[in-house]
Amino acid sequence: MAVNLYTFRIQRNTPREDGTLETRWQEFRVEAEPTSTVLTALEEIKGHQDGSLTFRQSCRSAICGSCAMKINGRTRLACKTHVADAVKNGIVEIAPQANQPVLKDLAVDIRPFFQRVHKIKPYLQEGDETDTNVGKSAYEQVNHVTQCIMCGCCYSDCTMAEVSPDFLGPAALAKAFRFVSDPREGAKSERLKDLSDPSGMWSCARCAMCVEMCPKDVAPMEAIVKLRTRGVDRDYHDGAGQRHALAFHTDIQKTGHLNEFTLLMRTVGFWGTLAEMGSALHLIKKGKAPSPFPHKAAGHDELKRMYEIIENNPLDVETKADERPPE
Amino acid sequence: MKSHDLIIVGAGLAGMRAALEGVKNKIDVAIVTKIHPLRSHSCAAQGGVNAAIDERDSRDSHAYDTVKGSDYLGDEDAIELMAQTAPEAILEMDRMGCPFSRLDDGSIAQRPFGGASFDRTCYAADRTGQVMLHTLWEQLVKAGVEVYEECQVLRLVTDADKKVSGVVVYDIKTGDLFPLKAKGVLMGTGGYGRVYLHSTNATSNTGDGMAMSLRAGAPLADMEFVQFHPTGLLTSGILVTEGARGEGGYLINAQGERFMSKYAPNKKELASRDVVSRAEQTEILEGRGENGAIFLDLRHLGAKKILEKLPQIRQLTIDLEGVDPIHKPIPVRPTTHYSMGGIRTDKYGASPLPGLFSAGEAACVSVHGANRLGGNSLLDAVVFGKLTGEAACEYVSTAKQGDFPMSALEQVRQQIQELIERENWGLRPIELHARMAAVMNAYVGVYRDGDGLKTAVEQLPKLRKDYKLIHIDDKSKSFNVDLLRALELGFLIDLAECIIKGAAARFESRGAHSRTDYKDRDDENWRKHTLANWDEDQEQIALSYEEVRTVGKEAYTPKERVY
Amino acid sequence: MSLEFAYYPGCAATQVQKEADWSARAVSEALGIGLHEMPRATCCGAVSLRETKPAFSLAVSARILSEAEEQGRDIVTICNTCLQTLTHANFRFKNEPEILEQINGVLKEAGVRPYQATRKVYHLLWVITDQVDQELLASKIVKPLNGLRVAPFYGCHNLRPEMIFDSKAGQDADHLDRLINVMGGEAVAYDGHDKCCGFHVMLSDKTEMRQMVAKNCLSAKDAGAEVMISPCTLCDMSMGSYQEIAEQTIGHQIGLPEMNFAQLLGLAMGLDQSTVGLKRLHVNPKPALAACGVL
Repeated sequence: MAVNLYTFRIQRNTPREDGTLETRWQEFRVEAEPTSTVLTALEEIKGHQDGSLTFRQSCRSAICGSCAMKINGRTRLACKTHVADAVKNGIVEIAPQANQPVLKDLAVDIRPFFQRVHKIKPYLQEGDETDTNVGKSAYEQVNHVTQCIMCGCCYSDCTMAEVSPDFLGPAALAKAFRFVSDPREGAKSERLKDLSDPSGMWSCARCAMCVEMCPKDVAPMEAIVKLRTRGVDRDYHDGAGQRHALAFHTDIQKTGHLNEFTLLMRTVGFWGTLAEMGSALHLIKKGKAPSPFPHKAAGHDELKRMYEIIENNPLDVETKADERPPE
Repeated sequence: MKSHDLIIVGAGLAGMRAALEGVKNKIDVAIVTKIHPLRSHSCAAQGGVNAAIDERDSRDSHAYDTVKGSDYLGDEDAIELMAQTAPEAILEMDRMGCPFSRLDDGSIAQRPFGGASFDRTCYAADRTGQVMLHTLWEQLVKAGVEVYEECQVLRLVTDADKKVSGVVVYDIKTGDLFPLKAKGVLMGTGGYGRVYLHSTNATSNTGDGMAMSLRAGAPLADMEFVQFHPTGLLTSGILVTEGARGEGGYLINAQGERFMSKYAPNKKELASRDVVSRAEQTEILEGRGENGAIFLDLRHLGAKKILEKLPQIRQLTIDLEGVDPIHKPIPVRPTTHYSMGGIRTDKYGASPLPGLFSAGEAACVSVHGANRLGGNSLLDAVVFGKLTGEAACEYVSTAKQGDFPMSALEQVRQQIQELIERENWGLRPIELHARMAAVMNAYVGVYRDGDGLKTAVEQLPKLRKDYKLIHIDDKSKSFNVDLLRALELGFLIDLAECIIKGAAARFESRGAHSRTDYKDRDDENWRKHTLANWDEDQEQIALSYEEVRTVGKEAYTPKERVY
Repeated sequence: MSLEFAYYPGCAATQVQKEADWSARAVSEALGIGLHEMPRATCCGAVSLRETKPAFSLAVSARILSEAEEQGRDIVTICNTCLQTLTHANFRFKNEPEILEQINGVLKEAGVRPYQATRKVYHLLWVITDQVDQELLASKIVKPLNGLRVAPFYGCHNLRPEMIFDSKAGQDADHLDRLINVMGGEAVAYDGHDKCCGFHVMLSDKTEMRQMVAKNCLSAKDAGAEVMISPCTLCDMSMGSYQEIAEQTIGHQIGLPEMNFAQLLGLAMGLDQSTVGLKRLHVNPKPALAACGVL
């Protein structure tokens, strides 16, 4: 196969005595086949050009989760990313993961990430809700989430984690779903209640960045959506996020349309609405007050019937893990 | 000085399972690991874990298959213990929440594996090691075990009575060196695959625990028995599970011929690993390979089965080899995979060095003898992780803490200082590593012979001399991976010597040790374990031998292995 | 290729972000794209309905898709979240026949025409940049942007998850960039271009949402953007209408005019300000547009 010359632009971070970091960018030229991995190229640099270049790696086969790093702006496993797919305008740009403190060069402090995972009690608990009858289909769902290798790609690219240091983050929440969805878990309700706290499952902004970036196809956001469904089913809807979600199906049944005005009322409650008035007034200023009486869609009574049919004969459309067709 | 009753080095399956015994027995136990527990190489085990949980199967049959697979070098007491304990170990993992794949009725699914007379390999798709590792980590978190993460043990320390008294630890994150006292130390540090050029192993598999134990006075056993996995990917060496053949995959040569029927007429692709690797190597040597590889053909399994049973494998071969196994055969070759040898222990994981225990790949109990069966390594790790953990707890509950000589700490400090201060000339560690690994691949590979092994032995003094000339670029304290790799290379050279000399001295072919100048197994003279001891005066290893532990069963009498 | 579509503007465009709807209709007419009303269509329910009532959510989407199918047309929308919701359901219907069958059972029982899973769901932006003859499009640009530096803000729900969409999505999506080039502007590359506008946590995580808005706008501004455009009415609300509120949260001014892509396209095509509802924008774009000669 043809060997090309690539330029790697790598962020170097050197810890100073006072605990701060000195950050600079350094360029290296590496010969590599287009299908070589970024990790192979980094090893080439470390081995033969500059032994001080520091990064984590171990298994080389996308299963240990060590080598997550920013490759051209997005967090990927270096061992799974081809150089040809990483190059942009002739340059492969490498930086440490985001949303975590950097220790040196490309190595970040992974403890804050794991602290969040620890927070969700990452182990099966005995309790009243334990069901020992483990069916195959329930298991597929558990299986899907256990593909997670805790590499942190999702957390590094999470748009909520970027602005909220308290957010549990995609990996921890997916791990929580692994237990909530396991028939053998004994404290499902308690978990859902805890996850309904601020900065928990309702704080995901649903940008799906984690679905896109997960190197193991875990689709953490899909797990978060399913957690929310189960939380709502158990009536944990004290928070604004939950009430906002609930408002949707009530409105749709009634008129077929979302009533933005009453939605606001129900989501944040009356006092919340008042507090929001600053923003509402801000909208009204530009003639953007939502009408409290949206028109009804033709045949909207069909929705009410559909709703009742499903309520009377619930359909399970989410137990099975999403089937992914071959690419 | 900080101390614990029991220190476990390594946080793979064996180490974590042992730590749980410490918690259960209310022992002050801590784990020291150079990488986060979830990064441990146990996660890379793909295909599965053996246990006779089906009522049509039997534990005796599992034991028999293992004795036969070991080419009659395994210790029969330990093998029986493992086979007998296996079902409980698996069901315990299941209770902890390990998501094994299920049959429609909810029971644990099993698949066929090489060298087994029953489909007894439990699995979780093709990532069994990963889910087992994550499950044990969950239990570790639940139990609140203290873990020194990203801390490298650099020396096993003994007191004046030659009893284990602690370890010297290097905190990778900060560069601080500190002593940890302990009454007992359990090495769960895994294998040494990086001693070879092409390996399925992670780069962290540098056999640190074995080498440190050797230097501290413990014998290493059967180091010449290195398993070559029949299906490592051609370019990267990354593992393609035996489960791929268990699910019906074929091995074909460059002519498209399914060649295994020539070598193992009954079991074909599912003969034991030493047999299959030799068959492949013969095909390649006789010119029926392509670029030094033969092919694993899964196409006839169809997309659905591949996606359900081998999804990760498919992704790996696409990512790393550019081949989609749904449409094309995968180029593979025999690749260094597993060390049957290791720290010599009794069947409860105790080494002859008082206070030193070992479990998992780091240990030689020996349940694998001259050749390990697929699906027995994860089992070995959890079964002997538990048993050795128990034994170590019992030991430390009565043992007295020995003195920790501060000279040990000082020597390590000097060694590091010397490496850091060494001027930048001479060899880079990677260059010396490549030279050592090339010797291993050339002369201590699938096939060996006297001339080649002699050449390899002759290389050893030069390797040791040049090791003193390597230099590192990174002079800093925090996260100095450059320094770590240089130190790990020192461990690897010790182990290379054990492998080379053990192989050179064994005049027979048995299991994974296959000599073209001594083609037959010689039970009369060589049904014995090789022991390698460190000779401090000579600064090299010295070999001795030890009988195989037998239980006197007729069924275990050595016979020709036919698959 | 037929350019006749069932038009599904979404709740935000019909109730709050009306300027996006007006502009979409106007530019479509000028480009020969037929937007046909869907009188029976309801709110798609967004991810919120998927969370609370997953089966009902699929049924609601199936009913909407079925209406388009009855018309024999594919759906076009101007809201990313509607696009993702309908596409997600459609993707499942096409790949999980047993789910489609179950949902159709519900539809039939409720007297609704079952869905045969034959339709596609497009964003109007994709139709304009993928399906409309690009020479025709270029010929309609009578007020070119003359190098105006425009930040394309894609938002999330037209990009991810990449595999479900009926056009190029994920990190390969370049529709806005291409459109900006056709209009004679310069597409600004910046970090926040495919990040979250925060709309869906506007109420639950107020401060965080505003920080998202501020970060995205500032990253565009720092990269030299004079104007930002988005293909989504919800992104418009966050990045445009809430920008001043975000400024209060972070404590300093941003002042980056944001508008719907169809508004800027309308102006470049010579439509007048009132047609595209320019005065409804919170951050005044007129100085920037006047400076480059569009106004």
